[in-house]
Amino acid sequence: MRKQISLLLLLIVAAGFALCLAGAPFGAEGARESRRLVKDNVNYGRRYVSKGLDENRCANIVTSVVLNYRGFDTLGEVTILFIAALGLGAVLYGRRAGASPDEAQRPSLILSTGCRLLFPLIMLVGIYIFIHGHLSPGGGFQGGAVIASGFLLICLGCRKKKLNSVALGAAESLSGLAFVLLALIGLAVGGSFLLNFLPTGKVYALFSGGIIPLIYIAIGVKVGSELSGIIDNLSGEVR
Amino acid sequence: MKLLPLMIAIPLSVAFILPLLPKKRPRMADCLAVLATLALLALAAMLIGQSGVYALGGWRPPVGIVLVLDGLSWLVLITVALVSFLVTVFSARYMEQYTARGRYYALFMLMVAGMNGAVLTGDMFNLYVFIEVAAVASYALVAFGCHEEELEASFKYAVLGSIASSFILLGIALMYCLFGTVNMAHLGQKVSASGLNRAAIFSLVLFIAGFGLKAALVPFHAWLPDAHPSAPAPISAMLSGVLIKAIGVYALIRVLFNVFGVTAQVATALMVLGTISMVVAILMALIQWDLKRLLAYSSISQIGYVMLGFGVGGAVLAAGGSPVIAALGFLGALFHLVNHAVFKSLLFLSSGALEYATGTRQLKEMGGLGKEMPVTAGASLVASLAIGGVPPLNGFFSKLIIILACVSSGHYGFALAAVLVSIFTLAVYMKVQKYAFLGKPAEGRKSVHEVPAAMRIPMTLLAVLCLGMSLMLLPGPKKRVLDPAVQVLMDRDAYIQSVMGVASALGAGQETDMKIAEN
Repeated sequence: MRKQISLLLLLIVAAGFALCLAGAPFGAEGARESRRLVKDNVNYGRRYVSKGLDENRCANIVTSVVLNYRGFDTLGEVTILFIAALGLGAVLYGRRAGASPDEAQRPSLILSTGCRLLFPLIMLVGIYIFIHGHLSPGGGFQGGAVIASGFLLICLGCRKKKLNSVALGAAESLSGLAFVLLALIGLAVGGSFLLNFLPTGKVYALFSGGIIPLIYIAIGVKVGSELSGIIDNLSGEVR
Repeated sequence: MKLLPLMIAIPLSVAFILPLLPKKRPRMADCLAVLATLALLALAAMLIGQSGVYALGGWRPPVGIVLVLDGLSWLVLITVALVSFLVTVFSARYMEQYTARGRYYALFMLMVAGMNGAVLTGDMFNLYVFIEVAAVASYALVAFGCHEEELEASFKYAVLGSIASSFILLGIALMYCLFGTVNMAHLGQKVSASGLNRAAIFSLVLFIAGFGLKAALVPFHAWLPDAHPSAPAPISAMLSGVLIKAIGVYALIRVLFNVFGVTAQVATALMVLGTISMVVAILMALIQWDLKRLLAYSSISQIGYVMLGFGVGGAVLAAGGSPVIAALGFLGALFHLVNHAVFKSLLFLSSGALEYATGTRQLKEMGGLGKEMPVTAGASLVASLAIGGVPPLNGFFSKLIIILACVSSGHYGFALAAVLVSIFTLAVYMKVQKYAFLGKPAEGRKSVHEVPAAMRIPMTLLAVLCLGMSLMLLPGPKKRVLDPAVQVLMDRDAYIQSVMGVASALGAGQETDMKIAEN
């Protein structure tokens, strides 16, 4: 009986949801519908695409939106990742003190040599991805994740190597600070927080987009060190 | 106005510096944190009476993100700054029991940055981002002691908080889908122009549920009585004192009144939710023996008062009634919101002082502490009388205004409930006074000493504020502090105009570059 009642309730709620969402426009059809509703034909996606190249000289429009038009959101998002790493550290800190570390099996020679050879290449790819974030698909978040995967490989493949958690923490904090400072320089120079105060250069060149590539490098270092820090924290109980 | 982004940049950069400080010198972390919150307090105080729109990165509003400073956001901003300053001073001694102080202050600063961002922003998605910053930091802080119950409370809080966040995010996605913008004022303009269809009403409901969860209104309150007591006492003071208000009540009110515009149904929903919270939570508080848990339930009940005030004001506004009565409802709600921040953070700090001295938070294991800890007892008594609504303390006036607004708008039932709950509240706090400070010491309780000066001073200051804040209702301070905030809620068009006016000022030839030809 209870099952039937809960099923019935679920159905009623689902029907209500469907009824409500039927009014929401989705996809191409939806875009037309919403333009009719909104009347004034403003479409910010298209505005960014058509103007972004002129205004920021940044070839990757997504990067342009993420780091310049809505850079303040990104500052918040990077901070959330920082909090997650910090919080994990704080929670694990209390637990680690008493626990005796587990013994881990030693990896074979082939595995550890392979990891050591792969590691610099992975770093290179990661760094390429975030340095080219304003020109090609990718950027700080993606590049940082690739870098962290390199550290994860080292943790798994060469068990004796320990990550230097002090250096990771320092990289994490300093790159975050660099982001805030870049934003503050904009405030000091041009009177606006997060202003793109550097010359924007020529589109498609490596040195273009003003502060956008600099911010993406900071984010790349930050995300890389944060994710590596999380790996280090979680693997701290294994010897 | 130019320095407005510093309200977020200062706590963020301090949070990035704090983990770098040497672990052997925890005093450095204490000093840096106190200095940072003091700077925020000074900055917020300097902004009094100012209002304006700040375009980040120099992009005009619907294209970029804006910060909006007006009477309402200033009021919440100064409350956050004041409470967080006094709490960091208290933390300096209290947190000596814990290790990893750098991490503690870093998380604390990030929570403050999140609240300041959420209060100042004029952009829906940015609001979501900063709400998450504040909320995720608070999940970590609740778990800070790393004991079993703290981890459990934090987990529960994180799960329910994430549900709330996903409701809010879905609501924002639907609004963007419908109206093609995430700027609050621009969204408000479009809502006025085209009205709400079913999907927009659905997202309105999602916002009420999502922010209601963050504000812990009664059907959504299950996480709070676990989360708030489990955190270290200074954090409990921050969570109950300002966090649920900044990212719950304030955000909900901003969205309902300035973006959607209040309707009769929404106002009724606020009144009903508020009254249920008020009544249910105070009855739950009455039967608690764990001091901090009792305080947590009482927070839910007091948030109910605030919501009732906003609801009554909104109902009058939506029905086109007298603006004087509507303003009275808003005034009561806003004043009670600020008052509650002061006396509830004081109560949590004094509960922390009791725990610091006696090592317990069970009321039955205390007793007779009034003689041994006179300052804590005095501060706690003032706060208890204030929250119980005894004249001439601040809580009396704010509750009186809310009840007056209910009566003069003809909502006699709600007024009666508010009066009854006020009596119960006094009873709850008399129980605290009786079992903790009066009577004989409980059996087996060791004699204790008063807490150190660094903990006594913030408590004394807050107690003085409980007495002094009644003066905010005098015509002069009221006109400077409370009236501008009320005005923001009364006049939705003025809010929209203030932001969109900047839009056209910054973007010359706006119409041509905003209208893109259709393919």
